[in-house]
Amino acid sequence: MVSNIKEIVAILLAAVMGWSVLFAASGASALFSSRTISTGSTISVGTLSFAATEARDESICAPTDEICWGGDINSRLNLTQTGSLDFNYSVAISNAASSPVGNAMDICDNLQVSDGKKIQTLKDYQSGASLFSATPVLNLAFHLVSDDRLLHDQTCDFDYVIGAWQANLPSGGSGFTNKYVIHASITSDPWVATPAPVVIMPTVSILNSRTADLTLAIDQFQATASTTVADDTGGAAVMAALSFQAVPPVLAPSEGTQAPQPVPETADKVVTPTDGAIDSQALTTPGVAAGE
Amino acid sequence: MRKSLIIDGMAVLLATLLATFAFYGQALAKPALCQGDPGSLPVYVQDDSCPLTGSHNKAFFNEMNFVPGDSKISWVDIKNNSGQPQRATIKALDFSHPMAASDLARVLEISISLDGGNGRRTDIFGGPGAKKTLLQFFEAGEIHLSNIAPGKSNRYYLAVSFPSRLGNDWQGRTTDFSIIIGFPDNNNREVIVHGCLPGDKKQDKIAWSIPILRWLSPFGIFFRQAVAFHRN
Repeated sequence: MVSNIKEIVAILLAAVMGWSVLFAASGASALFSSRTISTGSTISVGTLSFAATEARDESICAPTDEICWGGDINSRLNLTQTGSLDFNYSVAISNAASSPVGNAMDICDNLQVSDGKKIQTLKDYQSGASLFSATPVLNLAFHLVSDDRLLHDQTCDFDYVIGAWQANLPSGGSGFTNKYVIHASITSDPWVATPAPVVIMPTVSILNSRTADLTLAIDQFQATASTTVADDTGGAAVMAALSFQAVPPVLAPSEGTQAPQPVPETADKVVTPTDGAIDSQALTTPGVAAGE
Repeated sequence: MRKSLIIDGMAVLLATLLATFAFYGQALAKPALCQGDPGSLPVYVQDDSCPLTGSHNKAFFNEMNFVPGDSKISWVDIKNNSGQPQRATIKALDFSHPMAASDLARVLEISISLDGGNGRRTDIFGGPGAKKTLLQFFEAGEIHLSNIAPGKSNRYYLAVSFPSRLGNDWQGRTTDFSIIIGFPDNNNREVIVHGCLPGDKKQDKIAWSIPILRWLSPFGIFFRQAVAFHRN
Protein backbone atom coordinates (compact mmCIF):
# COMPACT_ATOMS: atom_id res chain seq x y z
CA MET A 1 0.00 0.00 0.00
CA VAL A 2 2.72 2.40 1.01
CA SER A 3 4.64 1.38 -2.02
CA ASN A 4 1.67 2.17 -4.21
CA ILE A 5 1.33 5.60 -2.65
CA LYS A 6 4.99 6.27 -3.27
CA GLU A 7 4.59 5.24 -6.87
CA ILE A 8 1.62 7.55 -7.33
CA VAL A 9 3.51 10.44 -5.77
CA ALA A 10 6.48 9.68 -7.97
CA ILE A 11 4.28 9.62 -11.06
CA LEU A 12 2.63 12.93 -10.19
CA LEU A 13 6.00 14.46 -9.43
CA ALA A 14 7.33 13.30 -12.76
CA ALA A 15 4.28 14.72 -14.51
CA VAL A 16 4.76 18.08 -12.86
CA MET A 17 8.42 18.05 -13.83
CA GLY A 18 7.56 17.21 -17.39
CA TRP A 19 5.05 20.02 -17.50
CA SER A 20 7.62 22.38 -16.01
CA VAL A 21 10.10 21.48 -18.71
CA LEU A 22 7.46 22.14 -21.33
CA PHE A 23 6.59 25.46 -19.76
CA ALA A 24 10.23 26.48 -19.56
CA ALA A 25 10.70 25.65 -23.21
CA SER A 26 7.83 27.95 -24.10
CA GLY A 27 9.87 30.81 -22.74
CA ALA A 28 9.37 32.24 -19.28
CA SER A 29 11.24 35.43 -18.56
CA ALA A 30 12.66 37.07 -15.56
CA LEU A 31 12.97 40.43 -17.31
CA PHE A 32 9.32 40.94 -17.99
CA SER A 33 6.33 40.30 -15.85
CA SER A 34 4.46 39.90 -19.12
CA ARG A 35 5.91 39.68 -22.55
CA THR A 36 5.22 38.55 -26.08
CA ILE A 37 7.49 38.01 -29.05
CA SER A 38 7.08 38.73 -32.72
CA THR A 39 9.55 36.55 -34.58
CA GLY A 40 10.71 36.35 -38.15
CA SER A 41 11.07 39.97 -39.16
CA THR A 42 13.22 40.07 -42.26
CA ILE A 43 14.27 42.76 -44.67
CA SER A 44 15.90 41.73 -47.92
CA VAL A 45 17.34 44.03 -50.53
CA GLY A 46 16.68 43.44 -54.19
CA THR A 47 19.22 43.20 -56.99
CA LEU A 48 19.41 45.27 -60.14
CA SER A 49 20.92 43.18 -62.88
CA PHE A 50 20.23 42.66 -66.57
CA ALA A 51 21.68 41.41 -69.82
CA ALA A 52 21.19 42.59 -73.39
CA THR A 53 21.61 41.32 -76.93
CA GLU A 54 21.34 42.93 -80.33
CA ALA A 55 19.45 41.51 -83.29
CA ARG A 56 19.20 43.01 -86.78
CA ASP A 57 16.83 42.70 -89.69
CA GLU A 58 18.23 42.03 -93.12
CA SER A 59 18.82 45.15 -95.16
CA ILE A 60 18.14 45.52 -98.86
CA CYS A 61 21.86 45.66 -99.50
CA ALA A 62 24.07 42.81 -100.55
CA PRO A 63 25.20 41.31 -98.29
CA THR A 64 22.10 41.94 -96.27
CA ASP A 65 23.91 42.61 -93.04
CA GLU A 66 25.49 45.77 -94.42
CA ILE A 67 24.25 49.28 -94.91
CA CYS A 68 24.05 51.09 -98.18
CA TRP A 69 22.60 54.23 -99.59
CA GLY A 70 18.88 53.82 -99.25
CA GLY A 71 19.22 50.58 -97.34
CA ASP A 72 18.90 51.19 -93.64
CA ILE A 73 19.81 48.75 -90.90
CA ASN A 74 17.10 48.04 -88.35
CA SER A 75 18.39 46.87 -85.02
CA ARG A 76 16.72 45.64 -81.84
CA LEU A 77 18.28 45.78 -78.40
CA ASN A 78 16.65 43.07 -76.30
CA LEU A 79 17.05 43.49 -72.57
CA THR A 80 16.58 40.68 -70.07
CA GLN A 81 16.09 41.17 -66.34
CA THR A 82 18.43 38.91 -64.37
CA GLY A 83 17.98 40.55 -60.98
CA SER A 84 14.89 40.92 -58.83
CA LEU A 85 14.20 44.59 -59.53
CA ASP A 86 12.54 46.42 -62.37
CA PHE A 87 14.64 49.32 -63.61
CA ASN A 88 14.88 52.34 -65.84
CA TYR A 89 17.44 52.35 -68.62
CA SER A 90 18.81 54.44 -71.42
CA VAL A 91 21.12 53.62 -74.29
CA ALA A 92 24.07 55.65 -75.52
CA ILE A 93 26.57 54.96 -78.27
CA SER A 94 30.20 55.48 -77.51
CA ASN A 95 33.68 54.60 -78.76
CA ALA A 96 32.62 55.05 -82.37
CA ALA A 97 35.56 54.64 -84.75
CA SER A 98 35.69 53.91 -88.46
CA SER A 99 38.03 51.73 -90.41
CA PRO A 100 40.05 51.76 -92.50
CA VAL A 101 41.51 54.82 -90.87
CA GLY A 102 42.20 57.94 -92.87
CA ASN A 103 39.20 58.07 -95.15
CA ALA A 104 38.30 61.46 -96.48
CA MET A 105 34.75 60.78 -95.28
CA ASP A 106 34.18 58.95 -92.03
CA ILE A 107 31.23 56.59 -92.03
CA CYS A 108 30.69 57.07 -88.31
CA ASP A 109 30.17 60.76 -89.01
CA ASN A 110 27.62 59.96 -91.67
CA LEU A 111 25.30 57.65 -89.81
CA GLN A 112 22.10 58.67 -88.16
CA VAL A 113 20.23 56.70 -85.53
CA SER A 114 16.49 56.82 -85.07
CA ASP A 115 14.70 55.18 -82.16
CA GLY A 116 11.22 56.21 -83.18
CA LYS A 117 11.26 59.23 -80.92
CA LYS A 118 14.19 61.21 -82.24
CA ILE A 119 16.95 61.14 -84.82
CA GLN A 120 20.52 61.81 -83.80
CA THR A 121 23.95 61.34 -85.25
CA LEU A 122 25.45 58.02 -84.28
CA LYS A 123 28.25 59.54 -82.25
CA ASP A 124 25.83 61.66 -80.23
CA TYR A 125 23.10 59.07 -79.80
CA GLN A 126 21.50 59.00 -76.38
CA SER A 127 18.07 57.49 -75.92
CA GLY A 128 15.50 58.71 -73.48
CA ALA A 129 14.67 56.79 -70.30
CA SER A 130 12.54 53.67 -70.56
CA LEU A 131 11.11 51.42 -67.88
CA PHE A 132 12.25 47.89 -68.54
CA SER A 133 8.93 46.23 -67.68
CA ALA A 134 7.16 48.50 -70.16
CA THR A 135 9.80 48.59 -72.91
CA PRO A 136 12.14 45.61 -72.84
CA VAL A 137 13.14 46.14 -76.48
CA LEU A 138 14.60 49.26 -78.05
CA ASN A 139 14.28 49.51 -81.83
CA LEU A 140 16.94 51.48 -83.68
CA ALA A 141 17.30 52.34 -87.36
CA PHE A 142 20.68 53.28 -88.81
CA HIS A 143 20.64 55.50 -91.88
CA LEU A 144 23.38 56.82 -94.12
CA VAL A 145 23.09 60.55 -94.61
CA SER A 146 25.26 60.74 -97.73
CA ASP A 147 25.56 58.64 -100.84
CA ASP A 148 29.12 59.72 -101.44
CA ARG A 149 31.26 56.94 -102.82
CA LEU A 150 33.92 57.79 -100.28
CA LEU A 151 31.72 56.02 -97.75
CA HIS A 152 31.95 52.71 -99.55
CA ASP A 153 33.52 49.72 -97.81
CA GLN A 154 33.95 51.29 -94.42
CA THR A 155 33.17 49.87 -91.02
CA CYS A 156 32.00 51.84 -88.04
CA ASP A 157 32.73 50.09 -84.74
CA PHE A 158 30.96 51.31 -81.64
CA ASP A 159 29.58 50.27 -78.29
CA TYR A 160 26.04 50.32 -77.05
CA VAL A 161 26.29 51.44 -73.44
CA ILE A 162 23.09 50.55 -71.61
CA GLY A 163 22.84 52.25 -68.25
CA ALA A 164 20.22 51.16 -65.73
CA TRP A 165 19.08 52.64 -62.47
CA GLN A 166 16.39 52.11 -59.85
CA ALA A 167 12.87 52.69 -61.03
CA ASN A 168 12.09 54.88 -58.03
CA LEU A 169 15.11 57.18 -58.27
CA PRO A 170 16.25 59.70 -60.88
CA SER A 171 18.99 58.90 -63.33
CA GLY A 172 22.54 59.67 -62.34
CA GLY A 173 21.73 59.81 -58.67
CA SER A 174 22.44 57.38 -55.89
CA GLY A 175 20.86 54.03 -55.32
CA PHE A 176 21.40 50.91 -57.35
CA THR A 177 22.80 51.15 -60.86
CA ASN A 178 24.15 48.80 -63.46
CA LYS A 179 25.69 49.00 -66.91
CA TYR A 180 25.86 46.65 -69.85
CA VAL A 181 28.01 47.16 -72.95
CA ILE A 182 27.51 45.51 -76.32
CA HIS A 183 30.05 45.92 -79.07
CA ALA A 184 28.62 46.39 -82.54
CA SER A 185 29.69 47.48 -86.01
CA ILE A 186 28.14 48.63 -89.25
CA THR A 187 29.83 48.02 -92.58
CA SER A 188 28.90 49.83 -95.74
CA ASP A 189 28.19 47.97 -98.90
CA PRO A 190 29.42 49.57 -102.15
CA TRP A 191 26.25 50.81 -103.70
CA VAL A 192 25.59 51.70 -107.30
CA ALA A 193 26.13 55.32 -108.28
CA THR A 194 23.38 57.78 -107.68
CA PRO A 195 20.31 56.22 -109.23
CA ALA A 196 19.01 57.59 -112.50
CA PRO A 197 16.58 60.42 -112.06
CA VAL A 198 12.92 59.79 -112.34
CA VAL A 199 11.27 62.31 -114.54
CA ILE A 200 7.98 63.55 -113.36
CA MET A 201 5.69 65.35 -115.67
CA PRO A 202 2.32 66.23 -114.28
CA THR A 203 -0.56 66.10 -116.68
CA VAL A 204 -2.31 69.41 -116.41
CA SER A 205 -4.65 71.35 -118.51
CA ILE A 206 -4.44 75.07 -118.35
CA LEU A 207 -6.92 76.98 -120.36
CA ASN A 208 -7.28 80.66 -120.95
CA SER A 209 -4.29 81.49 -118.87
CA ARG A 210 -0.97 82.88 -119.78
CA THR A 211 0.70 81.77 -116.65
CA ALA A 212 -0.16 79.49 -113.80
CA ASP A 213 1.46 78.28 -110.66
CA LEU A 214 1.28 74.64 -109.96
CA THR A 215 2.07 73.04 -106.67
CA LEU A 216 2.50 69.34 -106.55
CA ALA A 217 3.31 67.34 -103.46
CA ILE A 218 4.93 63.99 -103.96
CA ASP A 219 5.74 62.04 -100.85
CA GLN A 220 8.32 64.09 -98.98
CA PHE A 221 9.06 66.38 -101.88
CA GLN A 222 7.25 69.49 -102.76
CA ALA A 223 7.42 70.71 -106.31
CA THR A 224 6.57 74.13 -107.50
CA ALA A 225 6.09 74.75 -111.15
CA SER A 226 5.86 78.00 -112.95
CA THR A 227 4.53 77.49 -116.39
CA THR A 228 4.26 79.67 -119.38
CA VAL A 229 1.54 78.98 -121.83
CA ALA A 230 1.97 80.11 -125.38
CA ASP A 231 -1.66 80.42 -126.15
CA ASP A 232 -4.98 78.77 -125.53
CA THR A 233 -4.54 76.30 -128.27
CA GLY A 234 -0.95 75.34 -127.74
CA GLY A 235 -1.29 72.95 -124.86
CA ALA A 236 1.48 70.78 -126.19
CA ALA A 237 3.92 73.64 -125.83
CA VAL A 238 3.61 73.82 -122.09
CA MET A 239 7.02 73.94 -120.50
CA ALA A 240 7.30 73.45 -116.81
CA ALA A 241 10.31 74.51 -114.85
CA LEU A 242 10.09 72.26 -111.89
CA SER A 243 12.19 72.65 -108.81
CA PHE A 244 11.98 70.15 -106.00
CA GLN A 245 12.52 71.08 -102.45
CA ALA A 246 12.99 68.33 -99.93
CA VAL A 247 10.71 68.52 -96.93
CA PRO A 248 12.26 67.11 -93.75
CA PRO A 249 10.18 64.48 -92.04
CA VAL A 250 8.00 65.79 -89.25
CA LEU A 251 9.29 64.49 -85.94
CA ALA A 252 8.01 64.85 -82.44
CA PRO A 253 10.11 67.37 -80.54
CA SER A 254 12.15 65.88 -77.76
CA GLU A 255 13.69 67.85 -74.94
CA GLY A 256 17.43 67.92 -74.80
CA THR A 257 17.92 66.24 -78.10
CA GLN A 258 19.59 67.44 -81.20
CA ALA A 259 17.27 68.70 -83.85
CA PRO A 260 16.88 66.23 -86.68
CA GLN A 261 18.99 67.00 -89.69
CA PRO A 262 16.98 67.75 -92.82
CA VAL A 263 17.42 65.59 -95.79
CA PRO A 264 19.77 67.45 -98.15
CA GLU A 265 18.19 69.37 -100.92
CA THR A 266 18.15 67.33 -104.04
CA ALA A 267 19.03 68.44 -107.47
CA ASP A 268 16.33 69.88 -109.62
CA LYS A 269 13.99 67.32 -111.01
CA VAL A 270 15.80 64.42 -109.45
CA VAL A 271 13.99 61.95 -107.31
CA THR A 272 15.53 58.76 -106.09
CA PRO A 273 13.65 55.48 -106.23
CA THR A 274 13.64 55.31 -102.45
CA ASP A 275 11.64 58.44 -101.98
CA GLY A 276 8.38 56.66 -101.72
CA ALA A 277 5.69 55.39 -103.96
CA ILE A 278 5.18 57.61 -106.92
CA ASP A 279 2.35 56.95 -109.26
CA SER A 280 4.36 57.38 -112.40
CA GLN A 281 1.39 56.47 -114.55
CA ALA A 282 -0.51 59.44 -113.39
CA LEU A 283 2.35 61.84 -113.23
CA THR A 284 4.39 61.19 -116.36
CA THR A 285 3.70 61.95 -119.94
CA PRO A 286 5.43 59.49 -122.19
CA GLY A 287 7.73 61.08 -124.68
CA VAL A 288 7.95 64.36 -122.86
CA ALA A 289 10.76 64.84 -120.39
CA ALA A 290 10.88 68.10 -118.62
CA GLY A 291 14.24 69.74 -118.51
CA GLU A 292 15.66 67.76 -121.36
CA MET B 1 10.46 -5.63 -11.09
CA ARG B 2 11.21 -4.91 -14.75
CA LYS B 3 7.50 -5.09 -15.53
CA SER B 4 6.78 -2.61 -12.75
CA LEU B 5 9.34 -0.16 -14.18
CA ILE B 6 7.81 -0.35 -17.62
CA ILE B 7 4.37 0.27 -16.20
CA ASP B 8 5.68 3.17 -14.16
CA GLY B 9 7.37 4.67 -17.20
CA MET B 10 4.22 4.43 -19.25
CA ALA B 11 2.28 5.97 -16.42
CA VAL B 12 4.71 8.89 -16.24
CA LEU B 13 4.40 9.42 -19.98
CA LEU B 14 0.63 9.26 -19.84
CA ALA B 15 0.48 11.66 -16.91
CA THR B 16 2.73 14.11 -18.70
CA LEU B 17 0.53 14.01 -21.77
CA LEU B 18 -2.56 14.50 -19.65
CA ALA B 19 -1.03 17.46 -17.89
CA THR B 20 -0.09 18.98 -21.22
CA PHE B 21 -3.57 18.54 -22.59
CA ALA B 22 -4.99 19.98 -19.41
CA PHE B 23 -2.79 23.06 -19.84
CA TYR B 24 -3.62 23.66 -23.46
CA GLY B 25 -6.98 21.99 -23.53
CA GLN B 26 -8.89 25.11 -22.66
CA ALA B 27 -7.40 26.99 -25.55
CA LEU B 28 -7.94 24.10 -27.89
CA ALA B 29 -11.53 23.79 -26.87
CA LYS B 30 -12.24 27.42 -27.70
CA PRO B 31 -13.90 27.92 -31.03
CA ALA B 32 -12.27 31.35 -31.29
CA LEU B 33 -10.33 32.20 -34.44
CA CYS B 34 -7.29 33.36 -32.54
CA GLN B 35 -4.85 30.92 -31.06
CA GLY B 36 -3.36 31.15 -27.60
CA ASP B 37 -3.98 33.42 -24.68
CA PRO B 38 -2.24 36.81 -24.68
CA GLY B 39 -2.76 37.14 -20.94
CA SER B 40 -2.42 40.63 -19.54
CA LEU B 41 -0.55 41.87 -22.61
CA PRO B 42 -2.52 41.70 -25.85
CA VAL B 43 -0.28 42.96 -28.65
CA TYR B 44 -1.60 43.38 -32.18
CA VAL B 45 0.87 43.84 -34.99
CA GLN B 46 -0.46 45.97 -37.79
CA ASP B 47 -3.83 44.85 -39.09
CA ASP B 48 -3.69 41.42 -37.50
CA SER B 49 -6.96 40.78 -35.70
CA CYS B 50 -5.33 38.23 -33.38
CA PRO B 51 -2.86 39.15 -30.65
CA LEU B 52 0.63 37.74 -30.48
CA THR B 53 0.76 34.57 -28.42
CA GLY B 54 2.98 31.56 -28.14
CA SER B 55 0.97 29.95 -30.89
CA HIS B 56 0.24 32.96 -33.06
CA ASN B 57 2.94 35.07 -34.65
CA LYS B 58 2.95 38.11 -36.87
CA ALA B 59 6.23 39.59 -38.07
CA PHE B 60 6.71 43.34 -37.94
CA PHE B 61 8.60 43.38 -41.23
CA ASN B 62 8.67 41.00 -44.13
CA GLU B 63 10.18 43.05 -46.91
CA MET B 64 11.60 41.72 -50.15
CA ASN B 65 13.26 43.78 -52.83
CA PHE B 66 13.89 46.69 -50.49
CA VAL B 67 15.88 49.37 -52.31
CA PRO B 68 17.50 52.69 -51.43
CA GLY B 69 14.82 55.28 -51.01
CA ASP B 70 12.28 52.76 -49.72
CA SER B 71 10.67 52.91 -46.32
CA LYS B 72 8.25 50.67 -44.52
CA ILE B 73 6.10 51.57 -41.56
CA SER B 74 4.77 48.92 -39.25
CA TRP B 75 2.68 49.57 -36.19
CA VAL B 76 1.71 47.77 -33.07
CA ASP B 77 -1.17 48.19 -30.63
CA ILE B 78 -0.23 47.32 -27.06
CA LYS B 79 -2.97 46.91 -24.50
CA ASN B 80 -2.55 46.79 -20.75
CA ASN B 81 -4.84 44.18 -19.22
CA SER B 82 -2.75 43.75 -16.10
CA GLY B 83 -4.98 45.84 -13.89
CA GLN B 84 -2.20 48.24 -12.96
CA PRO B 85 -0.13 50.90 -14.78
CA GLN B 86 2.65 49.42 -16.88
CA ARG B 87 5.73 50.62 -18.70
CA ALA B 88 5.56 49.21 -22.22
CA THR B 89 9.00 48.14 -23.35
CA ILE B 90 10.39 46.99 -26.66
CA LYS B 91 13.57 45.16 -27.47
CA ALA B 92 15.18 43.47 -30.45
CA LEU B 93 16.08 39.81 -30.33
CA ASP B 94 17.49 37.08 -32.55
CA PHE B 95 19.72 39.36 -34.61
CA SER B 96 23.07 38.09 -35.76
CA HIS B 97 25.94 38.57 -33.38
CA PRO B 98 28.65 39.40 -34.00
CA MET B 99 27.18 41.37 -36.84
CA ALA B 100 28.78 41.06 -40.25
CA ALA B 101 30.07 44.21 -41.88
CA SER B 102 27.65 43.58 -44.72
CA ASP B 103 24.59 43.16 -42.51
CA LEU B 104 21.84 45.44 -43.63
CA ALA B 105 21.12 46.48 -40.06
CA ARG B 106 24.20 48.66 -40.20
CA VAL B 107 22.62 51.06 -42.68
CA LEU B 108 18.87 50.75 -42.34
CA GLU B 109 17.42 53.49 -40.21
CA ILE B 110 14.64 52.94 -37.71
CA SER B 111 12.41 55.26 -35.81
CA ILE B 112 9.89 54.36 -33.14
CA SER B 113 7.14 56.80 -32.32
CA LEU B 114 4.00 56.98 -30.24
CA ASP B 115 0.71 57.76 -31.90
CA GLY B 116 -0.56 60.80 -30.07
CA GLY B 117 -3.83 60.95 -31.98
CA ASN B 118 -4.92 63.49 -34.57
CA GLY B 119 -1.96 62.56 -36.71
CA ARG B 120 0.56 63.57 -34.07
CA ARG B 121 3.48 61.29 -33.38
CA THR B 122 6.03 61.56 -30.66
CA ASP B 123 9.47 60.19 -31.44
CA ILE B 124 10.71 57.66 -28.92
CA PHE B 125 13.76 56.25 -30.65
CA GLY B 126 15.42 57.67 -33.76
CA GLY B 127 13.49 60.03 -35.97
CA PRO B 128 14.43 63.00 -38.11
CA GLY B 129 16.38 64.78 -35.42
CA ALA B 130 18.25 61.78 -34.09
CA LYS B 131 18.59 59.12 -36.73
CA LYS B 132 19.33 55.63 -35.51
CA THR B 133 20.34 52.55 -37.41
CA LEU B 134 18.74 49.20 -36.91
CA LEU B 135 22.00 48.05 -35.38
CA GLN B 136 21.75 50.81 -32.79
CA PHE B 137 18.25 49.60 -32.05
CA PHE B 138 19.55 46.08 -31.56
CA GLU B 139 22.30 47.25 -29.26
CA ALA B 140 20.07 49.58 -27.27
CA GLY B 141 18.45 46.72 -25.38
CA GLU B 142 15.15 47.50 -23.72
CA ILE B 143 13.58 50.74 -24.85
CA HIS B 144 10.82 52.27 -22.80
CA LEU B 145 7.92 53.10 -25.06
CA SER B 146 5.48 54.81 -22.73
CA ASN B 147 3.31 54.18 -19.71
CA ILE B 148 -0.04 52.54 -20.34
CA ALA B 149 -2.90 52.88 -17.92
CA PRO B 150 -4.87 49.78 -16.94
CA GLY B 151 -7.32 48.80 -19.66
CA LYS B 152 -5.84 51.29 -22.10
CA SER B 153 -4.08 50.73 -25.38
CA ASN B 154 -1.38 52.65 -27.20
CA ARG B 155 -0.26 52.49 -30.80
CA TYR B 156 3.39 52.71 -31.72
CA TYR B 157 4.94 53.05 -35.16
CA LEU B 158 8.16 51.40 -36.25
CA ALA B 159 9.50 52.89 -39.46
CA VAL B 160 12.45 51.39 -41.29
CA SER B 161 14.01 53.31 -44.15
CA PHE B 162 16.80 52.65 -46.62
CA PRO B 163 18.75 55.87 -47.22
CA SER B 164 18.76 56.72 -50.92
CA ARG B 165 22.41 57.80 -50.73
CA LEU B 166 23.45 54.16 -50.49
CA GLY B 167 24.43 52.19 -53.53
CA ASN B 168 25.37 48.88 -55.05
CA ASP B 169 27.34 47.62 -52.06
CA TRP B 170 24.04 46.75 -50.42
CA GLN B 171 22.41 44.82 -53.22
CA GLY B 172 21.12 41.45 -52.08
CA ARG B 173 21.82 42.06 -48.38
CA THR B 174 19.46 41.00 -45.63
CA THR B 175 18.85 41.36 -41.94
CA ASP B 176 16.68 39.28 -39.64
CA PHE B 177 15.46 39.88 -36.13
CA SER B 178 12.66 39.38 -33.67
CA ILE B 179 11.00 41.88 -31.40
CA ILE B 180 9.97 41.34 -27.81
CA ILE B 181 7.37 43.54 -26.17
CA GLY B 182 6.61 43.40 -22.53
CA PHE B 183 5.96 44.97 -19.18
CA PRO B 184 9.19 44.91 -17.18
CA ASP B 185 9.52 43.07 -13.92
CA ASN B 186 11.11 45.60 -11.61
CA ASN B 187 12.49 42.95 -9.29
CA ASN B 188 14.67 41.08 -11.70
CA ARG B 189 17.22 41.88 -14.26
CA GLU B 190 17.99 39.67 -17.19
CA VAL B 191 21.14 39.84 -19.26
CA ILE B 192 21.10 38.16 -22.61
CA VAL B 193 24.46 37.19 -23.96
CA HIS B 194 24.47 36.42 -27.64
CA GLY B 195 26.61 34.01 -29.55
CA CYS B 196 28.02 32.24 -26.51
CA LEU B 197 28.06 28.65 -25.45
CA PRO B 198 28.10 27.20 -21.96
CA GLY B 199 31.59 27.54 -20.62
CA ASP B 200 32.27 30.82 -22.40
CA LYS B 201 33.09 33.80 -20.26
CA LYS B 202 31.28 37.06 -20.58
CA GLN B 203 31.94 40.16 -18.54
CA ASP B 204 29.26 42.76 -18.38
CA LYS B 205 28.22 45.59 -16.12
CA ILE B 206 25.10 44.71 -14.27
CA ALA B 207 23.48 47.39 -12.20
CA TRP B 208 20.56 45.45 -10.86
CA SER B 209 20.54 42.74 -8.29
CA ILE B 210 19.84 39.06 -8.80
CA PRO B 211 20.80 38.84 -12.43
CA ILE B 212 19.82 35.89 -14.51
CA LEU B 213 22.28 35.25 -17.24
CA ARG B 214 20.75 33.86 -20.40
CA TRP B 215 23.06 32.34 -22.93
CA LEU B 216 21.78 32.58 -26.45
CA SER B 217 23.74 30.13 -28.52
CA PRO B 218 24.26 30.36 -32.25
CA PHE B 219 21.78 27.52 -32.51
CA GLY B 220 19.03 29.50 -30.85
CA ILE B 221 19.03 27.35 -27.73
CA PHE B 222 18.59 29.01 -24.40
CA PHE B 223 20.76 28.05 -21.48
CA ARG B 224 19.74 29.65 -18.25
CA GLN B 225 22.14 29.99 -15.41
CA ALA B 226 22.08 32.11 -12.33
CA VAL B 227 25.45 33.70 -11.72
CA ALA B 228 27.10 35.39 -8.83
CA PHE B 229 28.44 38.86 -9.26
CA HIS B 230 30.29 41.38 -7.19
CA ARG B 231 29.77 45.10 -6.92
CA ASN B 232 32.63 47.27 -8.16
